[in-house]
Amino acid sequence: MSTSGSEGVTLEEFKLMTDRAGLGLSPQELEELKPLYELYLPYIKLLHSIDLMRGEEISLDFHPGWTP
Amino acid sequence: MADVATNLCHLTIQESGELLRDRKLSPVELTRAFFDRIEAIDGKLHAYITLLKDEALAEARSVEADILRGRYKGPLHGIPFAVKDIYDTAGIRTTSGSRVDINRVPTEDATTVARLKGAGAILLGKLMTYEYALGGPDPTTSFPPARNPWNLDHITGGSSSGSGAAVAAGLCMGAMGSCTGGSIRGPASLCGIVGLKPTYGRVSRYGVVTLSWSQDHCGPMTWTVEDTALMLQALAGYDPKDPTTTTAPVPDYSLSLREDIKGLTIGVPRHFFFTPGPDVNPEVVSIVEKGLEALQELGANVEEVTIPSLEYVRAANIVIMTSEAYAFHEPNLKTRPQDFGELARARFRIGGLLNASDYLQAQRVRQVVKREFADVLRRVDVLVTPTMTQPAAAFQGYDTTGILRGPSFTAPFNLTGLPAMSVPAGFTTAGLPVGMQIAGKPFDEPAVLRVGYTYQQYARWFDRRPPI
Repeated sequence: MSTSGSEGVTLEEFKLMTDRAGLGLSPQELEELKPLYELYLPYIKLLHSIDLMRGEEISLDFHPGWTP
Repeated sequence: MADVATNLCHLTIQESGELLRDRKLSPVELTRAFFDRIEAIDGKLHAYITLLKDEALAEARSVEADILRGRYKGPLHGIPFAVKDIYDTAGIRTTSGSRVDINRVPTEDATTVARLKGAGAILLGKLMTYEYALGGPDPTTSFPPARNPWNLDHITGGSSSGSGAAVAAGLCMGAMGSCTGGSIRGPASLCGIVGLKPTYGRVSRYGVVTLSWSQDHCGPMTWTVEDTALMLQALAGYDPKDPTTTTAPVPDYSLSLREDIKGLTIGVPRHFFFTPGPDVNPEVVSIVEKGLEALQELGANVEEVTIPSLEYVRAANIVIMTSEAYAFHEPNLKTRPQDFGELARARFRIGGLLNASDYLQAQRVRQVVKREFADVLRRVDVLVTPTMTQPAAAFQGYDTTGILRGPSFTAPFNLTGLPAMSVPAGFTTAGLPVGMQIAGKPFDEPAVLRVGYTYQQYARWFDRRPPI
């Protein structure tokens, strides 16, 4: 389930999300966590609303010469 | 006895370093003075989780012998310091403020701890932290929250809560904090001390418990900018154990401190940082505006700058932090969730609900923010802003989710990795400290320190100590 653009989620949708993540929450834990998750939704929506015209490449940094 | 101990504990690293070097002060006497003061007042402050009195006094005796034999190592030799309890200390429990790690005993010092010890500093103990460097004061953990020495009914800010309280109250001469969204500068601002988040890669993160790999920074917290420069000198430099550290040369941070700031250009993103409103306390803005005026009187030029992508910073910082934190804590969250405090457990769990496109979009937006900051920093030498939007909140009625609302004045510099330091800039009418944030170009800690030092010498807020 994509989180981008969500206005809010139903408890059922939220349960699906947490089950998919393997969090194993009780009904009470679900009810308690959902309001906190909904505080994050505006931030997620904002990020996905930004039109990155230039592509904004990202690459992982690594050091080919580094040995542990 | 109490007055003597207090007077010694209120010396700076610079001041006591000279006395120790010149054998006018015994490291044993100095270390004992700190433990006397800790025993007298830390019951009210809860700055410390673990005290190392026997070990510290033994080390102090060894240091004294070395100094008397002429084996003086430098300005940190014999200086009592403490570290946030997410810094690994060999043979000494490192709890991260959590029941999950309450009995975890590392076998090796964090690189930063080793470097400070190598410089001759004496470790007094491990300092209170918000659980795993996240969140806020949480009564559901096993640790009472640190209290603000300026008003015990108020928070210190975090997550380097004990570090802020200990330095402000004279319970150590310097402390180490860590910072992922503002956890060094926040408590520095709210506790009236100096806190530096160096450039990402300047100081090793090896042996420090992770919150967010790409946004975590380690840095010193002290009473003065001069002391921060002394600590940074010992800390900075490439560490083969932390591949994100840079091989860029380490300058002499004390050398340029006293150069004046005439002609230096200060950028002020007024549109984001200086607009009083429901989320931004007008007293904070007013105090930092006076700080800017002082910097102008001291010769700096002030130029208003615009960084439009600042409005995206909080979102990118939070999504990256929460995702990376979940990745680190996932095994324990799934096997022993009951051992986390409610606040950290809930916030880490959110990370499991963010998906790859959320995280990657945040990292791409990060590039936009970095580019806009780089463009501005080609025209100005440093940026100056308030450190925090508010002074220290009261414990009563404290909203633990408040940190998720409103702008963050500190997060931009975690997202971009730029160096940023908070220096005391004054007090509210209620007597609570307010910090001014100075940020610079990558690896230009010298400019940041120079502006901070010049301002401190002029404003002299360090002459005022908390009434404890």
